[in-house]
Amino acid sequence: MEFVTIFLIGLTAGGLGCAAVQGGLLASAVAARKELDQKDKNDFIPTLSFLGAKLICYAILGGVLGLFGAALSISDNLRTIMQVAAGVYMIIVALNLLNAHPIFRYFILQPPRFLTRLIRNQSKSADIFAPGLLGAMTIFIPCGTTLAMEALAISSGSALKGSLILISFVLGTSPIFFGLGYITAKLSDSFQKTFFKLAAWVIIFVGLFTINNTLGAAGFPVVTIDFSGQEQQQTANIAAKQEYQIDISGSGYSPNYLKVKKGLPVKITLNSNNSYGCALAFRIPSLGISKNLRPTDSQTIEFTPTEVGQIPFSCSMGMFRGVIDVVS
Amino acid sequence: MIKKKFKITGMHCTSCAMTIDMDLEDLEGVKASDTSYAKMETEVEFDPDKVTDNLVIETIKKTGYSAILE
Repeated sequence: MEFVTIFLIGLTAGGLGCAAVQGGLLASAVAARKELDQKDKNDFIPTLSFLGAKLICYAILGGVLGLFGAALSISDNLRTIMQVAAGVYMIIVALNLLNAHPIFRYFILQPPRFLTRLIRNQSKSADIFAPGLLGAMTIFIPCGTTLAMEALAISSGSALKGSLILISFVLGTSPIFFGLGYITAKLSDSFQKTFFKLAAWVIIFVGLFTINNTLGAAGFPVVTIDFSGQEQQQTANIAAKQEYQIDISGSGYSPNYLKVKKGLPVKITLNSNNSYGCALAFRIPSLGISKNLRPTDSQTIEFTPTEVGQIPFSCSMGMFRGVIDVVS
Repeated sequence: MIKKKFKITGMHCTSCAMTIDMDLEDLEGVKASDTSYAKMETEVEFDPDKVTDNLVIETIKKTGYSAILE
């Protein structure tokens, strides 16, 4: 669902915002080529090579940003700060799209002059590879929305996720390039503004969601948006021997609710069986417990609860959650 | 060569600033153009014998934005 949202952001704000500029650059490269070779009347191939190169570059960029995020999250505290910062940045970008205040414009990075010059010269080249190179170079001229998605890629803290985030985004921005003239002529100004607004609100939602999940993973009480479906309870054995098993799958933890007694040692065995995803990074922030499982693995955690109350657990990103309820 | 600043409206991201610079610098007689998205203005260095204020404003308008002399 995450990647679908990102695709939609690309399709709306990203598409219109980027297309205005990048579409212009592409058009001038295509025109330069046509001037050179009258037979070359096809727009489709240059557009495709432009988009293909762009997609590959963003896929790599996303991976690098994800790795950068992973390097930043050497400690859970740093990870929390980085993810909250990324969430806040997304909201700032969205507020700028909404024209909330001129101050937000200063947060949108402007590419250095020598890069924009380079890109401009490239757009005038009649070389057959020009559209492709131009597509690759667009990573240097990110619009605000792209910057927000790059922040999200960093906050994912994984090369694969970071890459997928930018791939989804760039795929979302792509369709508009094929019908640029047609669509821009069709869309009235007010309709475009509505599109921007819609996208801005989606970005605000993603930003808030990121912050919420981050704080949730750090053990703060937050609004629960849980993807793991219905709460499954395990209340049965409040026995002297407090032993539990939690199965980890791609969709979270089962059970995700345990009831334990205060003052007695608790032993939880975490089992994963050919499962992938964030849930493998198991965290209980309030107890400083952190276990990273392999796709098929079994690890045990032990602790003795000393206070009555709820102990939240989650994956490192806060997407999948659960609670250990300590009763007296 | 003289330098003049113009206020611009209608830019929605930094790439718009880039496009304006490109179109202005394509004009014969314009030496450099430095558009800031954050400040919503552009500083243009041009030869007054070849380029008029009006031509600058018209060029920006053609790119898709509106401009006035500061």
